Amino acid sequence: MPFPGRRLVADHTLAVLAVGLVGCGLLAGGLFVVDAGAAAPDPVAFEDTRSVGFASEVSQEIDDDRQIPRAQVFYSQYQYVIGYYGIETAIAAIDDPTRQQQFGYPVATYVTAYDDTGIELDDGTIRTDGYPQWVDADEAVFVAGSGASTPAGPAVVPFADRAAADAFAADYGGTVVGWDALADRPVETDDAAVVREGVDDKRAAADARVDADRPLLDRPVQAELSPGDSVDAAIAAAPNGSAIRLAPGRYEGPIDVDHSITLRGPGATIEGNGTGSVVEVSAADVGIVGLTVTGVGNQTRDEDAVTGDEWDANIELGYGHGDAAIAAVGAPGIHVADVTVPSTPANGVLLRDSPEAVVRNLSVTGTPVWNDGFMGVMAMRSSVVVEDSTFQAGRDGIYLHRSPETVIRNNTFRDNRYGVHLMHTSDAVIADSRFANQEFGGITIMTDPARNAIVGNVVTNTSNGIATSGSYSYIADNIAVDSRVGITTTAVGSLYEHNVVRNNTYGMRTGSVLATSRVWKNDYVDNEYHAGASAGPLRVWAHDGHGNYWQGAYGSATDGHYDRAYVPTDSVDGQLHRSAARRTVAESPVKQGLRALRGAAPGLRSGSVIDPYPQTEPQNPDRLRLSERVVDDGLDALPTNTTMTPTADPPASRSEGQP
Amino acid sequence: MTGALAQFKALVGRELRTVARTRVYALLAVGLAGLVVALVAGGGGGQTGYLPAVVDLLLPLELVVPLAAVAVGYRSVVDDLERGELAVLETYDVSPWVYVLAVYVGRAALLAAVLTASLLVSGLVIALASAPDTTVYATHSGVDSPILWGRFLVLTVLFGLVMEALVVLLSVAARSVRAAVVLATGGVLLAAAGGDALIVVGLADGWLAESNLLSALAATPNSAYRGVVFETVIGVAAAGESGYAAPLPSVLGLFGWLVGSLAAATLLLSRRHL
Repeated sequence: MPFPGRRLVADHTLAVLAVGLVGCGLLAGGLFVVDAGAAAPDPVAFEDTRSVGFASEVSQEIDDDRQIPRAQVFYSQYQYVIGYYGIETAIAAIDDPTRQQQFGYPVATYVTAYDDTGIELDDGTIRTDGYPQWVDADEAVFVAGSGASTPAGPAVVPFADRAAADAFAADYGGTVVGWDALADRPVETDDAAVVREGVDDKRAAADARVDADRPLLDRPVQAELSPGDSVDAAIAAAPNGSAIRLAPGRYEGPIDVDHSITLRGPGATIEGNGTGSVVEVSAADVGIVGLTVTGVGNQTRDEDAVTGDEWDANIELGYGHGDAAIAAVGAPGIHVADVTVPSTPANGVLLRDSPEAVVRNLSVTGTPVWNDGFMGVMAMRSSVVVEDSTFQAGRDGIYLHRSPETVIRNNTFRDNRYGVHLMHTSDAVIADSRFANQEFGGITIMTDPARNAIVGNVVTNTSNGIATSGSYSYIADNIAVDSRVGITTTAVGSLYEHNVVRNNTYGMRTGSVLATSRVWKNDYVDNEYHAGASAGPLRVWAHDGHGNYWQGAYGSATDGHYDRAYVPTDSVDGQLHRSAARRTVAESPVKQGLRALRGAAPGLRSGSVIDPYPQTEPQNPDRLRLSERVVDDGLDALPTNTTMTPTADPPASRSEGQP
Repeated sequence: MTGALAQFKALVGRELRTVARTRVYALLAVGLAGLVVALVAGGGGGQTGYLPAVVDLLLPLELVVPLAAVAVGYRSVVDDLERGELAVLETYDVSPWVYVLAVYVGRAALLAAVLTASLLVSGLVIALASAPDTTVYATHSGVDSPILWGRFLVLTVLFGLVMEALVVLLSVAARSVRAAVVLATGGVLLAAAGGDALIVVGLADGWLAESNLLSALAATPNSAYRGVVFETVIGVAAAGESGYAAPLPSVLGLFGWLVGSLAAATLLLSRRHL
């Protein structure tokens, strides 16, 4: 019994076919006539964009977003809307060829137009009554070179209407240009390459800062104390610019250094009474050299502390008022050297509003359980050089809050919660230090600062070896082994190069949906997963035809790299170094067909990493050998620290004359 | 002419009934749709959108579509020959072109339906499953859109129709079912890979110049298909990226293969049988 429908179709085959064919043909043709380019999406609220442009501590200072001309860009192959503080930032990003490769071209760009906002400049800062409106950048006009500025420097101000722009230019100067003309102007940004170039300068600046303290260490000795003498009385009697020598033995604390003198050991111990800070410093250019400090109080915050009404008042209350072996408050230029804090339930050295500080050869030991202790060095609004020091079993080895231009180098950290912990701190250098067994993190940068450099450090057996954040940072020459995550690439617009990650659960792990960093010339060996990817697009980890060395990558090679792209986040590729059988799967035509074009439209893919130019040879052979020894023997495998030099002991006799 | 029309109608109906009777084609349809959906899911592209899924599917489909064409059509004519139906039809004075076209339309309709259904189902999967990794930030779809998926579908079906025409030609050429399998597989492989291989050799030896490359790509079914997908689907995501293929010559090239194969089949059939 034939199915009636079938008969119907059979009877009218021709008509059905004809109608069907014509319909399909029209539809099919129509698909190619329609413009597949995305219709320009409407602007979104700026706070919903992934915004870039300012370090967090700078944007915290801005009390009103209206002060900053902004842009938001919808890219053709990138699903997140990117917001830019500063029109200049947007232009630099759109021009960047790497970004074009990752994100495609801008489908729509909107800028904040200041027409009818009652815009005025208050010493360069933009003040408005109304709210600027989003307008299409192509239709906007811009006033460049007026007096308008933001924390990032001079600012271009957008308007929707030419007349409004002319009026603004008449009042405040500058020239009126269109978007295309603006985009053609060269823009300079402080990108990661600039940070790389600046590392040596910062090292030299740190050297200079340490050297500048030489006179402070050579101060004439005014008094020589014996154990039991009153240190406070001697301080009261000592003139500015003099030194007090403490003979080996015990001295009663707490003491209060309220003018510019130097206290020196070696061998002397200041004993606190178990409450409060032991050595309190409240004057500029004080030297504390060769002392041991005990009996520190156990308060990590002060209920009675009074802070200003700045945005970080609560942070100051939480971290800035604890007890310390040495507490310097409003004491710029303090120099702490050869000091030992054998045990503290609170801070070792606390620096609050004490910039230009130097801490050398300090040794701080916390508590048996880190939760009971606090910071080895707590620096708040105090740029500091910390070098040749040791931090053990505290909460954080070094905690920084708003302490830019800090240099931390050649220190050793063991068994802390965090080794180095940066909050709202930009332009810092963390170099040549060693970290073992940190519970949470070796070097941990939080709160989106900018232009930090992490160079030449070794981290082992830690949860997050090096965790970055913010933008325009330089992470290079580090070794991360035996950790859960070796290095995170959360800092955007940054440069990750010449690092070795070995024997970690994840060698590197992405942490930002913005794929604007350069990751190349790193070595990935013996990791469970060489790389992991969190939310965000496919990241291309190579630059200028040069990728990274991935143990397990294979293929035919030209010019030092394999022709076959390597996908460390792929379930097959990513395990090639651990399983020969995966190689068989990798060679299957289905797998090859699937992966062949993977690099196309990376912005529209998600959660993975590809290296189109995997290198055939390790990029950092010496560092790779060293990393193997660290895996075997821990930090003890590292060469003995030869750069550590105890602060010179000046002549014991009183110097001739006053300086 | 009405006689030819009536014959064509009857023959197409016969093909469709054959197709409907052959249960294994249902299996083929399910298998193909399953494979396409699996590739979309396994490749990872489908998690974020249509365009990345096209990137994942393009190369596998270049292999799968010709194979499916062979499966659908390799016995179409040779079966009639072996069972003597061709001889019967001869007595009805069916002209070769009517017969070839009817067989082709019947088989091509099946292949087109299977491919369309597979890609529509996967398109639906993508529409339902693709989402941004995080909703912390505002998102948009960029240039990705169902239109691109539609283009991919149309081009893939067109590629399938070309391959089916080729398979019908080879089925005419075969004198036994056993020969038909070999002939269809070999012939399709030759057309699918041979043209590309020739282009690769030409570029390596230097006799194929850049100025002729687009024409050569348009003249090769696989390259024409791949090139137009690059040009009208994948290249859309990048600004000013074009020149992967000459779309119109490529589409004309594909139609050329389609019409040429059917014409050759008609010619061959008229010489031999009808």
